[in-house]
Amino acid sequence: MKIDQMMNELEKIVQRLEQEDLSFDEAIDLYNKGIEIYKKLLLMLNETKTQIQDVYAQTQQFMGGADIES
Amino acid sequence: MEKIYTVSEVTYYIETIINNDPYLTNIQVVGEVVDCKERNGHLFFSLKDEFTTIGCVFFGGALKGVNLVDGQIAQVYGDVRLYPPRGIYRFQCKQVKILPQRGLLFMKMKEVYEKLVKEGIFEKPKRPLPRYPSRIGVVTSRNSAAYQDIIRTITERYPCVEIFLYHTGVQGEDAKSSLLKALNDANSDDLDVVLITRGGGSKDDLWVFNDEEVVRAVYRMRHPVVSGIGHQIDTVFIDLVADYSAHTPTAAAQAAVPERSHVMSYILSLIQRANINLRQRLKTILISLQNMRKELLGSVVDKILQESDSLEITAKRLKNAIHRHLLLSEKRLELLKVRLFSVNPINVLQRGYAVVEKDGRWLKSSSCLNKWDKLTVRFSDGIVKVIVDENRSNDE
Repeated sequence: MKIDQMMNELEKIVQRLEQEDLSFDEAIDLYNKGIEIYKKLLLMLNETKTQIQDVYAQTQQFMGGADIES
Repeated sequence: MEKIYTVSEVTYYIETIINNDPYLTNIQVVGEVVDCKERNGHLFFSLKDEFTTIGCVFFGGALKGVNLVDGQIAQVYGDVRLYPPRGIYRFQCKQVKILPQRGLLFMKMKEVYEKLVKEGIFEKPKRPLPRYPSRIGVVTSRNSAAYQDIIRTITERYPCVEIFLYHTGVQGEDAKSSLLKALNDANSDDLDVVLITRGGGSKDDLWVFNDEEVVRAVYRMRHPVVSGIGHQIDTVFIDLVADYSAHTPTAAAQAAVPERSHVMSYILSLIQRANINLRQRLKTILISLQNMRKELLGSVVDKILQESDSLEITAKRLKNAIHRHLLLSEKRLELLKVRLFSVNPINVLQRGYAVVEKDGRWLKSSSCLNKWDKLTVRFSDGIVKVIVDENRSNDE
């Protein structure tokens, strides 16, 4: 699942928890599901950040380090 | 410094050469007598032919009863010798024979010569001999020493030629027709050069080479002609129309073919020159290639640097844009987290609150409760079931 979709999913969960009449068990389940999505999202965002930094570093290295004989 | 010789040293050296040359000793010479004088019993005169003159002396000639008159044709026997006091060579006669019948032949020969000169036959431009012939025609007698000399010389010097013999009987009555046929045959074949040769013989034997028809036949030859008639001192009319006139058959063969070692060294020098030339060309090409490469690379590098500059900017923008998105997502997640944590049902219980449920629903208000309703109250450490005794919310 993409980050945006998951983010929306989490948003829905939080809204339901805030607004709907749920049984306690349902709330617990929803809450746990929300926590799970939150953890996943955190991980994914961190990974994405690292990836972006890696790619950028590589680009810099490639451009700076390209030794063209003249 | 070169040695400086005295006149005598040079003169005596020449005398030695002349004295030791077998072609100049005990030979017979025929020519027209001119300038004949007698002094102290010795005869001084010159012998001449159409081309040259040689001075003669016959010591004691007058005393021997020889009576020479200008215009006579004489055949003399003796040696060519140097007269050192005057530095001239002359023929010292031992015997003199007057040949009245020879005069006719000479007259005829002279007549032919003058006719041919008038026609400009002897003015014919000399053609160059081929440098590297491959087919050589030889007009000579099959059994002659001249032919053997030619074969030997050519084989030694330059064996890579084909030799074609055009046999001619060079002596006797049919010498002329046989020679004409041989010349004609040679002329119709595909050859690079033609040698016409004859070993030494008496003047009679060589006579045919002065013949008008023979001279004309040689004149008409398509191929370059080398003549090699007789020995050192013989000259015949065909020598004058030949493209190259050698003194002997061997010399004719030498003139017709190059020396193998010279050819080899020539080829080697050509190869060397070609090598040097090739190297220089290669060098030039390499240098211009290098220059071109430099220019090309220079322009390419410029372009790449430009591109890479703008690329770097784009890459930065890209990175910033995606970073912004990422930050937004992180912020949103942070907010969601806060909201999520705030509605954590467990938190509520742990803080000492209890959750009230009716029919499986979490009650957020007391307004819908009536007396006797059955409720579930959830604490952090357990659940109790209760019954509503009184609802005071409506009272307020």
